[in-house]
Order: sequence, then C-alpha cells, then structure tokens
Amino acid sequence: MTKTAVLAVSGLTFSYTNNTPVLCDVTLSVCTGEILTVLGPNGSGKSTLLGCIVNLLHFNKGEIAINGKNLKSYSVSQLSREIAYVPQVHSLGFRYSVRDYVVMGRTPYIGALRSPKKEDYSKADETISRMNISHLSKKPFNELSGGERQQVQIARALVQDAKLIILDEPTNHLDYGNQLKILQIIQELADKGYAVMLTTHMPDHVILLDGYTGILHPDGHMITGLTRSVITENNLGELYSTDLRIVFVEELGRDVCVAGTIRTPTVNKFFSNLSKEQEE
Amino acid sequence: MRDVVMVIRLPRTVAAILTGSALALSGVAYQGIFRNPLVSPDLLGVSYGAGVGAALAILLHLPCIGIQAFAFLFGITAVLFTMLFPRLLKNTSTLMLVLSGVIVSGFMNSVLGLLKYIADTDTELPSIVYWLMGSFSAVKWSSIITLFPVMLVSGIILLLFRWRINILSLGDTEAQTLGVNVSRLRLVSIVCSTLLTASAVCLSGTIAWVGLLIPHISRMLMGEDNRDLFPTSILIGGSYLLFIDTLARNISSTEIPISILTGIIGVPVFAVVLLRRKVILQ
Repeated sequence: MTKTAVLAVSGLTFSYTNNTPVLCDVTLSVCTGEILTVLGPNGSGKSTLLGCIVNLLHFNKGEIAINGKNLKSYSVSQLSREIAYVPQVHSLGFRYSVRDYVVMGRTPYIGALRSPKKEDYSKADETISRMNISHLSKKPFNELSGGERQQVQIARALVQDAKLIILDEPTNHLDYGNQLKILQIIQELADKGYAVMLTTHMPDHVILLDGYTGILHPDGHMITGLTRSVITENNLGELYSTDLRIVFVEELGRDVCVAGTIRTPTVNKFFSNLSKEQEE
Repeated sequence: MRDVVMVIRLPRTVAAILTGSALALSGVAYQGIFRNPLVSPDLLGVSYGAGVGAALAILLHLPCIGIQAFAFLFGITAVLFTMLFPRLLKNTSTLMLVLSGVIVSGFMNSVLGLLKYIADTDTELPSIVYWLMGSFSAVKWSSIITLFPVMLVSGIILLLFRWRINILSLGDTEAQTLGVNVSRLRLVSIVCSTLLTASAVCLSGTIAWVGLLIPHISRMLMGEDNRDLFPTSILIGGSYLLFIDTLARNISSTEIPISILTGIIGVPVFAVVLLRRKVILQ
C-alpha cells in the first residue's frame, strides 16, 4: 500500500537575486507518520528549503505539493491549517504568558476581527497538559529556559491542527538532556501520525530518529533516502570534511555517529601557523 | 453662563478627551505593529507633515478650518510618502519603513524650518510656534463634529484587530505561518493609526509624549496583551489630556501650551515608568 505524501517537493531550484542557486533540483517527500531529517553544513540552505515549503520564499523552478495540491493554490490562511512551523528558540518583544502564546496557534481558525474564545483556550490547555507543561502555563514565555520554550513552541504548533509539522533546528541551543527530550517528542509526533520534517546539525540525532534523511550539500544538491542507506561514513565525511565514524554499539543495539579524531592535519596546521606568527 | 459651558468649556473638554484617547490608541497600535514598546505615533512622519501643512496654511492666511484641513492632508501625505518609498526600492521590511519615516520626517522638519524662516516674525511666526506647541483654546463644535466620525471608525477598526496585532509580535515569518496576512494587517493598522493621529493633531496642534507615555502606564497596570491594553490606553489617554488641559488653563493667568506641560510632566513620569518596568532594550 502506498501512503499519500503530505508534502512532495520536486525539482525545486532557488536562488537569491541571480546568484548561484542555493537549492538545486531538490526532490523529497514526507508521508503521514514519517520523519524526514535534513542534515547540512552551515549555509547549505536548510532554512531556505523550509522557507520555500512554508511559502515565505518564492522559488524559481520546480513544484511543491501539499496533500497533492499545488502550494501556490493555497491562501495564507488555508496553508496555516496544513503546515505548522516551529521556529528556532527565540524570545518575544512583549511579555505573553505561555497559555496566551500557545493559543496563538489557533489563529487560522479565528476570524480576523475576533479574539480566541473558550474553545480555543480549552484546546490550548488540553495540549499544554498533554505535553506535561501545565506548571508553565501562567509563566511569561520570555522567562522560560530554552528547553521549556521549545516545548511550548511545539505545543503552539500542535493546536494549529496541521498534518505537517516543520521544525527549524529544534535542538539548537539546548543542553544535551533537553535535546534528547525534544527528539523524543518529535518521535512521538510521528508515531501519532503527523508528518514531520526537521533540520539539524547532529548526525547522531538523525540516526536516533531513524526514518528518512536528506543530506543537503553546499552546492544545493540533496540526497534523500532511508537514514540507514544515506548516513554513511563516506557521505558524512565528504559533507563535513572531517573524520567521522559510524560505529555499531552492541549495548545500544544501534549505530552511533562520532568524530574519529580531532587531531587532523588542518588543526595542527592552524596552531603551527599561530605559533610561527607569535615568534615573528 | 450656559453659553460659556456649551460654546467654550464643553467643546474643549470633548476635544481634550478625544485627542488624548486617539493619540494613546495610535501609539499603542504602532508599538504593536512595529513590535517595539518605544515607538511613538510620529514614527512615520504624520506630525511633521501636519506641522508643514499648518505652517503653510498660516502663511497663506487661511481661516482656522483651512489650517486644520491642511494639517490633516499634509500629515496623511507625509505617511503616504513614507510608505511609498520602500516600495520604490522593492524592500518592504519594517526596518526600511522606519528608515523611510526618518527620511520623510527629516525632510518635513527642514521644510517647516524654511516656512518659519520666511514667515513674518511679528504675526505669522508666533502663530506657527503656538500651533506646534498645541492648544485646545480654539476648538469649535464644527471641527469636532467633522473629525469625530473619522476617529470613531479608525478606533473601532483598531480595537477589532487588537488580538491579531498580538500575533505580529511573533515576527513576520511566524505570523504568516499562522495564517495572518501580515502586510495587509500592517497596512490597515497604519492607515487607522495615521487617521487617528492626524485627526488629533487637527483638533489641537502637535502634542508630544502622550502616544508614548500612556501605553507604558497602561502596560504597567494591565500587562502587555493588546486585548486589555487598547481599551485601557483609550481611557487613560482621554483622562490624562483632560487633566493636562485643565492645568494648562488654571496654572497661571495666561494659558500654557499643552506640549510644554505634557513634556514637563510626561517625560519624568515616563522615565519613572521605564525604571519601574525595567524595560530591556534589545
């Protein structure tokens, strides 16, 4: 049985003002219950890719379909009922409580001239308690820690009632424990039937999430496939030009991705140059 | 006695309340739209434009109604220029809009300087200077009746959009992914706020600090949710300017221009409010 793709991108090409393309012929798809993790070095265009999918950037070539319908045929408000976007952890210009922040996720269902009603608040409260963050409900969003903020941002995406959830580097700026907690939440979302797409810098997170992986190269090309077949020492070593090892750890029963050594010729050279300069 | 109340005192009272409410509401709306609690309704140049219009009308020896009409039209025109400029440069970011406001305000200020320079120093220049300091002494029922519908409609529209303006505080990107048509919401809010400020300036001349001070006092009392903040600002703004105008009439034998009092009383209060709220300037 073939599952229907919630998100299907084909032949996507994007460039900022006539320069070399940031994204070149990118093709990918995400179905319900699946996770697609996009891995790529700094500046490879991960955020640009997400920007195209949520229709904030206008791409030059290719097509993006949401539930089989062309992205361009959706209005801003219709699209917000299909895709929920979770930005990188940030702070707000004004002090809003967590509850008031989460209820903002109901915007697609609230008329332009109206404010959220009881039903919207009960939906927000329900999601907050389901995520076990009820104790944060009355606190100002800006006073939360990074990990707490990320959970609250995900709660806001959930009340949006969209099938596709897109997260921009959800584990950035979080401590190790919180990184794993967020990954756990993401896994649960997929298990519940959401289609999830996220970007990350951590190859080991990609392995933990399993599912599908897209490797975005700095030249704009992307390789996609099952994580097991895409995450190889060859692919990653080439991507980050460092010594990366993928090792099967018997105790864990899974592959792990770790750095081989940091004593690479480049590092040594850097310091020898530095000491030479000091001598001079 | 009845005439004194009906012809002189009552229109003045109504005008002070309307102006205070309008300036406070447009201030709090601007702060929401631009995601910055330190923005005032002058940001896009409406007051400077209105100043040029009023000065020009005074130089042309137009009657009171002419000064009001010129102030209103020039105020609106200044904001139109401010909004047109980023479109010409094909850069519609908020920062570009704010810069464009600085440019237009600066230009209008220079034009105002030129008009003051060529004005007759015995008759025209004092009129211009007094107009720029604001006063309710010349307010008539006719101008209130003309401007009230404009203020009422703009005010109601802003009040209806007040929760949506909360969403803008998340940033343009996120607001759009939540289904908000950001540029349309911003345009409607700017138009309404500008109409409110221009109407207020029409009634009283330019009055400084109300649009910045009142929203901060309201925030201190009610928190930062625009659903509470907009109505509170309207109420406090109206009462505040009524109080200031009463002071202006009674504090000395001659009337003191409003802006002098809003400055001398308002600025220290604003400083105290900022200290107490410990606003973090990012």
